[in-house]
Amino acid sequence: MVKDSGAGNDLKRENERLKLANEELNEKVRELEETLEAIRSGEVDAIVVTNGEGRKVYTLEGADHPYRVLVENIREGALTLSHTGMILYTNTRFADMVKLPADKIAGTSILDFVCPEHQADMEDALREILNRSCRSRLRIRQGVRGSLPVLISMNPLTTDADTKISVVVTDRRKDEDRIMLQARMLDAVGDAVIAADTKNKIIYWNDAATKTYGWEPEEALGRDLIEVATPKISHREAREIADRLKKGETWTGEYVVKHRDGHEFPIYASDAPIFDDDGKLIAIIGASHDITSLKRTEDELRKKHDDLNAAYEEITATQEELRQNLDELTRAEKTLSESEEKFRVLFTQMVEGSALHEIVYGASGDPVDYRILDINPSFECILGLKREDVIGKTSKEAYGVDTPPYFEHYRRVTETGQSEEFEVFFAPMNKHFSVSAYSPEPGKFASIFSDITDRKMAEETLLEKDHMLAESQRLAHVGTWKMDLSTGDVSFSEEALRIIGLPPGKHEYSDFRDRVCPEDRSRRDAEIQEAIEHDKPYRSEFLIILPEGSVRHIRAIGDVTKDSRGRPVTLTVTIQDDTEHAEAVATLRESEEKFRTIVETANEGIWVVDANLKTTFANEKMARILGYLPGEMPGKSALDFMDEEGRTLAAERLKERVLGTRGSYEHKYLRKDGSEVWTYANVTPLKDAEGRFAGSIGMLTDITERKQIEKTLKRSLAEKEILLSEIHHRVKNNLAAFISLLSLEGSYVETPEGQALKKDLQNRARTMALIHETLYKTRQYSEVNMELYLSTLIDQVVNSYRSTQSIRTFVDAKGITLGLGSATPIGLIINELVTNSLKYAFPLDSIQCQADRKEPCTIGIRLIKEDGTYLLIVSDNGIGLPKDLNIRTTKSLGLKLVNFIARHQLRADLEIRTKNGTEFVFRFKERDHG
Amino acid sequence: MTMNDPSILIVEDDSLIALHLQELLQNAGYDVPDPVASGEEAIEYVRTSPLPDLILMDITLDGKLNGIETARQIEKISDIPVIYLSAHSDMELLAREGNSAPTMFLAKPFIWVDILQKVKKMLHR
Amino acid sequence: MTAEFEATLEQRKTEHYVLRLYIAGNNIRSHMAIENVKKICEEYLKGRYELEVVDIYQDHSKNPVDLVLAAPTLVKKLPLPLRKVIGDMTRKEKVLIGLDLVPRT
Repeated sequence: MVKDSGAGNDLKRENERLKLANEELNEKVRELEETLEAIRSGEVDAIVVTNGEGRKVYTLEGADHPYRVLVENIREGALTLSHTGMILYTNTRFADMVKLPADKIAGTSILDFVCPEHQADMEDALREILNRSCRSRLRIRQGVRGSLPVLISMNPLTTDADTKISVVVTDRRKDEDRIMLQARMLDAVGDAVIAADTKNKIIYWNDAATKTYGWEPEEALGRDLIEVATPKISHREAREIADRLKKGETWTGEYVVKHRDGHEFPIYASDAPIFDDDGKLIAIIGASHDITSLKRTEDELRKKHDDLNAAYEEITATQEELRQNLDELTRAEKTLSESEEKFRVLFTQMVEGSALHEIVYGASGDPVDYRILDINPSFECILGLKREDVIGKTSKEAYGVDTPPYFEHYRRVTETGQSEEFEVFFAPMNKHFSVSAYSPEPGKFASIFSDITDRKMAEETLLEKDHMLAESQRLAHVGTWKMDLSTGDVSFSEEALRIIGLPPGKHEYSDFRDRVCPEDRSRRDAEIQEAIEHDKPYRSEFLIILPEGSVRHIRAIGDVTKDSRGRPVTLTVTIQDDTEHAEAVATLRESEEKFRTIVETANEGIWVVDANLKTTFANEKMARILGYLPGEMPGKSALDFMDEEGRTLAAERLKERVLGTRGSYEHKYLRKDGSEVWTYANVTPLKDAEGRFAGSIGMLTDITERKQIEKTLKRSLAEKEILLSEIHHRVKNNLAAFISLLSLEGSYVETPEGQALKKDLQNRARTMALIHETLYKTRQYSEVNMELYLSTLIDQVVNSYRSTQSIRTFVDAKGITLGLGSATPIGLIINELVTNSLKYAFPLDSIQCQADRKEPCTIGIRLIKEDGTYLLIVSDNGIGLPKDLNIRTTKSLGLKLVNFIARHQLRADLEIRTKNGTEFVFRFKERDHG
Repeated sequence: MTMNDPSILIVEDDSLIALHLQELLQNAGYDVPDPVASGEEAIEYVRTSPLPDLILMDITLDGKLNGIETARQIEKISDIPVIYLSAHSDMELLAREGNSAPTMFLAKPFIWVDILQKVKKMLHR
Repeated sequence: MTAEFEATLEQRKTEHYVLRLYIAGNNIRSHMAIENVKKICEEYLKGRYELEVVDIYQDHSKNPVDLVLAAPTLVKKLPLPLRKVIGDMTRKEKVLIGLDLVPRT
């Protein structure tokens, strides 16, 4: 069986192989048969036979052979298109142009080869091809990225069957180069260079063009020149230019173009034509630049002229407008009233509810009701009823009421023919309506309901606002008045009337103006006029006289409102009764004046300095005191007017001021001329708002004179003292002279009595002299040092009565000084008593004065002061006074004197004690001795 | 002394002069009470004591009043004639006081005959 | 139609076609052929065919394998098997059968 399978398999394989071969052969035969069939049936144009040596083509139809060769070999690209633009045939040249293999071209659309910017034009051309051949310059795609400028010529080929298109495509690079070259040369000039083809499509656009016209190259290229750099010239002008260019001439001139962003500007342009080798116009190149600035000046002048014209024209136009409006209105009125149809439309469309009725008369012939003839949709809404429900019914029936609504108005309107307007409140809808009723025909009336709810609310709000305004005006005592500048009518707010003193209601402007004080009237008028004419705010103050006679001060502020043309329309003024304030201001001013007057006319210098002693104010008097002009003072430090000593003092005093204490003191200043001036100052420190030391205010008086007087007085006093001293001296001398005289006389006195007398006299004189001497010595003129005086006196007396006995004396008058008035009598008293004691108290033969006496003979004087009373005790320890001595009646002059003097001058009480000798005790008070 | 003798009050602050004057006038037959030294004492005397017929008034006195002022005060009580005793400087005071009434004065130092004569004269008025 | 062929038909519906049309110059028959082939391709093979149009006069490079080729001839190169249709392609069924888009009866 193994043999069988192998042989079997081989057979199978052989079988298969034969089957396939058979099939192939069958196929081949079939094909060949088909080919023959095709040839026979004339469906074939040519046959290609390939053998070992090559291939050969046998054409079955040879009629178009020369044409075919031509087409295959020409420089241009040649295409045959179906009428839809599908490429049916292409020659190799075209395939080269578009850089594609030829077999990939047929079957595609021509549009696939046309650059995008030309697509639309190509489509148009294809559509129109039967009417028009197309010859255009465009660009075709070259390979993937490139493009080629070509001239395409398309012509229709019409056969019985259908239309095909024959296309010839010519390479235009050379032409393009020519244009480019020209353009590049113009580039160098710096102008905007634009080149456009014969179809006006932009083919060149340089940077300067971009700058000038605003379009980027990609936006401009391919676009129509008219769109991009639109010149504003007339058609005739454009044609003229085109003609010239076609002739080969260049054209130069100005025109206005539009920039990309829309603004127009003038340019100076120079256009030149470009021709191809055949002398055919292929492009126009234009060079241009912006001449705006040059034009501007021209334009401005022109504009001004134009403005004037325009204004004139406007006025004329406005007049014209008005006239036209009037005509229109008349026409409109006529049209409306003429056309019932229009009414119909209006009726249905209007927003207001409208209804037409006819009056219904009762049996008596009186109007009793009205029938609803027609209502519009808006009325339906208002009623809430449908048209069909109310049409034809009377109002009573339709609305279900007893009385026809608003019947009185309607009846009147219908009877008189006069229209009426009234407002109603329609409760069911809670709305306000303004009803307008008129009679279009006798017996009929129409009513129009306008919803004025909003308006009513607005009115109420406005009313409220008005009230609020009036209220606030009243509270603030501020009023407003307005004047319509065209009519002269005025209106016043409530408060304004109150202020002016006019009763509520309507008033004329003169009512107000009459109240203004005559002196202020013309000024106020001028101020108002000024505001109106010169568009300035109005500000005025004036006095008015109220009816009851009182004068009020009014402050007014206002302005003028204008219309859209700038003409003044209304003057609005706010007024305020300012009297109290004005009075207060006036009073304050008066006070200030008074204060200023006081300060300026004060007899004292007023000097205000700050915390650092810098002058902030000095009145005239103060300046004069220091010898400066009032203007020179402020700013200078007070220290500038002092010497070294003064400054030190000032620094000290400043400390006190800072603490808040006042001070009064004398102070020396230096005047402008360097001389000194003494002042007496009362200085009060000042505080600022925070309570800190802020300086001082001083009232200064010039006391230089007084000081002079003081000095003079002191001097005079000193002089007088010297004088008095001198006097005492002289008096003493005179007495001394007298004593001397007595001495001289004495030498001629014989009797012992005479001698004794002389001595007595001398002593008395000496006693008197001693006082003056003591005074002179002690440089006193009235106070006598008693210790000194009495010591000297007692010695003097004792010495003059030199006796053989030794008499002791003592004086005790320590610290006592007495005036002349007391010292003198005391001196005299002591003289007499001591003399007496010396004479009589110690007789030689008396036991008490023996040498063995225990106590020495003593005469003593004691002068003591006790509580304002003086005690003068003159004593001796002698034999005492005679028992029968009566001091009053005694013949002894000395004692008599003692008594008299004591009583008369000293006013002393005298007590005589005779215990241990003799003691005279005088008790006296020092008295004012004149 | 009898009641009939004219009495003369001496107003003088210097004791010696006063005593001297008293002695002199007493010897001349006048009634002379003890002199007083001040204006106040003089007025007191005039008010309380029997009125003297003449006053000899020193210008400068003890106390607050001078002689002229004292005389004025006394004038209110009675119209006793006054002779002023004055030192030279008192003349100025007299002039200042503007004394309109005719005055008699005795200048110090006294001339005693002059005193007696003037006293007699005044008492006769 | 056999089930097998149905299956093949289905397959055909998605396959990519490469076609070459030989024409002889710029004449009516050539135009008709191109138009007709294009029409059929757009109708039955839209988006999945490649059509090459070879002018036997201009393009000498693309020689058919056969000894004899008439123009116009449409050759289905892909999908295999290789098929030919001769004539101006006006008879649609002939073309469709030739492209194996329709079964041969």
